[in-house]
Amino acid sequence: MNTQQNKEQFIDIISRNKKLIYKVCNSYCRDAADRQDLVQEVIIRLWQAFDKYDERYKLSTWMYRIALNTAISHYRSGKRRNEATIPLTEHLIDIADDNLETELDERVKQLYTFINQLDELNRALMILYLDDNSYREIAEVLGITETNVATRIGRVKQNLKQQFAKI
Amino acid sequence: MIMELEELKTLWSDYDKKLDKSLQLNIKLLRQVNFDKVYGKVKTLIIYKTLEMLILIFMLIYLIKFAINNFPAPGLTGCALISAVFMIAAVISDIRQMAILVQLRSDYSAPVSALQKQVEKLKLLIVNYVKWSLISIPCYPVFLVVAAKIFLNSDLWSPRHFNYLLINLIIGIVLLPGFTYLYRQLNKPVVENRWVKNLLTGSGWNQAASAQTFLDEIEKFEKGE
Repeated sequence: MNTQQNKEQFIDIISRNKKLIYKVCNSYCRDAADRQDLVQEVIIRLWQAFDKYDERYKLSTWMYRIALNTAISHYRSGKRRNEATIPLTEHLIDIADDNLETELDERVKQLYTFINQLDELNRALMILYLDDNSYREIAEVLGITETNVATRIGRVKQNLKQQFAKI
Repeated sequence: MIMELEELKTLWSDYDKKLDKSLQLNIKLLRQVNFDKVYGKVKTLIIYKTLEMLILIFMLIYLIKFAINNFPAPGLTGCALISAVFMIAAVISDIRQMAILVQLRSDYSAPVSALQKQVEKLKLLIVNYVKWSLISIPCYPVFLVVAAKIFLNSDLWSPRHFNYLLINLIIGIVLLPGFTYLYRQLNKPVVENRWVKNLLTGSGWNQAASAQTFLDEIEKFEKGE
């Protein structure tokens, strides 16, 4: 059973990896209110699985899997309000500087536009690649072979060239 | 303008640094909220399916007992056994759904492609359950015979009620082609008839079609196609 000590440990892990959660949620939900629901759902899923976390595996692999699985399921359900969340007036993870989005480089916006055009699985692959994970780590998170990861990254590169060549 | 993937990585990394400075975690709120109390969709479905399975098993035992007790009357025994077949099909489907649900509940940290496959398979099982329910509707006279005996102690096979039973059997036979047609439509990836499409939307056809498409995409993704 989850204890108070566990909760502190969990909060510490979330605190150190909040960017991972935010980036995954932001890539599957561009709507701010929907994203907050998804962030909360990911944290709930992580908490519920925390007891079973096997320390032999890398923490980021475990977190990516849960965050991506939750985000893809949420995205596919197409619901704004999720049943697995509780009404909160404040946000769990938030950007303190509201100007960040507006300050974003035009090309970062293009990058998000490009990511959003990818299907659910290739989007996950792209997030993992951009987050500087090795092919082996990407393969572990997604459950595919390293060769497959390399092939898919190659295809994304080609696709990207074609996309930006049109601009 | 041509942007290389490595260039995107640099942009992503810059964005990451900006997030480092501006992203805040509401630790106070995180401490206050008791996430243990949150019942996810999976847990709710497990509870619902467990209850459903218990009721079905109880009904199945009762039907078998009913069939044995009424063994000299082939009409009643036959109807009870046909009803039991539907119950067995429902219990089997419930067991398969439960197996996936328990897996989803215990390990949401499974690799993305494997877990998403399970989620889509579950959706298909649920829709198949609806399909089986469609098949059972024209067979309602069979259930009617059993229910009449259990609740009203009335034998619909007796000459006194035979006309009533005959009318219901005819209604069941008349309904059969319509429901067989709907069942076949539910198996098709594309339904062209707009009227049928509207009718099936509520019965999970959309979810099934979408689940099947995504399952195919996952298979292709795993194979590197």
